[in-house]
Amino acid sequence: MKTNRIFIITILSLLTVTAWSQDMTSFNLNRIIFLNSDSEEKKLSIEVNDIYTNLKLSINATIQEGDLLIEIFDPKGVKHGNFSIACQLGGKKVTLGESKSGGLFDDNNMETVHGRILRIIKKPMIGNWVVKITPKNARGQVEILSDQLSNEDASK
Amino acid sequence: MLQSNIMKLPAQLSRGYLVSLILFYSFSIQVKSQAVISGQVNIDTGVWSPVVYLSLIGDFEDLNKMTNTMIIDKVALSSSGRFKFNISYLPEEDVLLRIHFSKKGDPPASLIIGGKDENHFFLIANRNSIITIQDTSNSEFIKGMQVNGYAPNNVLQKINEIAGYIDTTEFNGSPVKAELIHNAVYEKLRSIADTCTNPTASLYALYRSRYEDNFTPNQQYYQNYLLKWKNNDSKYLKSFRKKIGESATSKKSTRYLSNIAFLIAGFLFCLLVVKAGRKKANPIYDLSQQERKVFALILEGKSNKEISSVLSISLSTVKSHINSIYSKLGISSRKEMLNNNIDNKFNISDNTQ
Repeated sequence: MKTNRIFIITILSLLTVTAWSQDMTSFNLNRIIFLNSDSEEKKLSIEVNDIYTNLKLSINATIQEGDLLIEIFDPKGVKHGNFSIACQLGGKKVTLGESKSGGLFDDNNMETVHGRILRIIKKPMIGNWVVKITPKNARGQVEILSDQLSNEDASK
Repeated sequence: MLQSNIMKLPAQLSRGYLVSLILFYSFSIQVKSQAVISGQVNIDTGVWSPVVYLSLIGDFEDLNKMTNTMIIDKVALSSSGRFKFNISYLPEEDVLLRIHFSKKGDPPASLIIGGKDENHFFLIANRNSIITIQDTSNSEFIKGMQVNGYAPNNVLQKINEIAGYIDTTEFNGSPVKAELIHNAVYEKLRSIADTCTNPTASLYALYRSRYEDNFTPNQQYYQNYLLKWKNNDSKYLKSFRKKIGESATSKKSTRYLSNIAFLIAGFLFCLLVVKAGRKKANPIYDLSQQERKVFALILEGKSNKEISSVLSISLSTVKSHINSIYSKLGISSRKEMLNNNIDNKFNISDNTQ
């Protein structure tokens, strides 16, 4: 009984290690940051080491209130992209203006602004890449997807 | 009869003249109101909303900014993908505009940068522009938009092609090589900015060249650039002048502050060095406060007992201090202390208090 348990644990461990080592060929990061009238600057670090050849960064942000600035920096602090979105109505419902689909406001008469940036960096600099999120009384969410592909996956 | 006809001639001529005048002005108004941006796009209406949005870029800093208030107009696409904006309300001078489409599910104010879903492009227009947009894309929706009818937009497209080279090119070399290629692209864009005759297109090239990363080592280039456009009062150039001025001023201030800080640090360092030097040359600094007092009294010729009385300490304490003084000053007797021109050697005059 004891031998059987040890055998099962060993097999499971081997399977886990194998699965993990396969995942090492591509490194995914998926973070969602919720903002609730937030004004605090946030920095997300994405470590790049020398086994990866492509860094794919996708940042998706939607706000119903406030301002938001998104910037991408390499390990040397050089900017590799940015966008900013802003709402003007302070999160209030719209009573005038258009509210139909295709109008400037969503179906709930709320002002919503959306921004997305996609950057594919080939042979990225080794080190910590930084996604800097600078909200100003922002309410909404930011989704950060990062994918790093090895030599083998990049050539497929 | 002939005479009556001749009499009618001035009236007929006047009427004719009036009609011509009316026709001429009507034609003029019509020509003015024909300032349009029109085009036809092939979009997948299953993915994209069939609406085209037109935004005014008030400042080049807002190239990558999206707000609802930037959107100045929107039109629905026809079933054949056609659209038309009347832009006769634009000012006489060129403005930078942005056309964008929103994906279904995204709000109207939606900006997507990079990738196959990039949803916007820029163009330059004024109240007299007649612009047509042709969608020549096969696979990449926005990248295939051709803007025709107003020459500065040809420059814009060239700038976009060059700037886009960085994203599309395959680098087989090292990151150092990639950086060299990036620098070459930005240099090309700055060259376009330098030689372009349209100020808005020129400034667009400069912004796409990431001028902020290049400003400090090339301030002369930017000063010359502003000189070139010194007679141009466009709001874009005014804003850029202010930014360059602020960058130069803030960098100047930083430089002055750092210089002052270095001067102060250097001065303090010299003081420390001199003091340390003096300290080294003058072993009197090694003596404690009490030892210096004992030392000074010895130089006055006082005996141990007198020193004990003056300083109100015991005789044994005086002797202990004297031994310590001998050791620190590298001497072995009172005589040596007095004979070796002590005052000059040890410079005690300021150190006995």
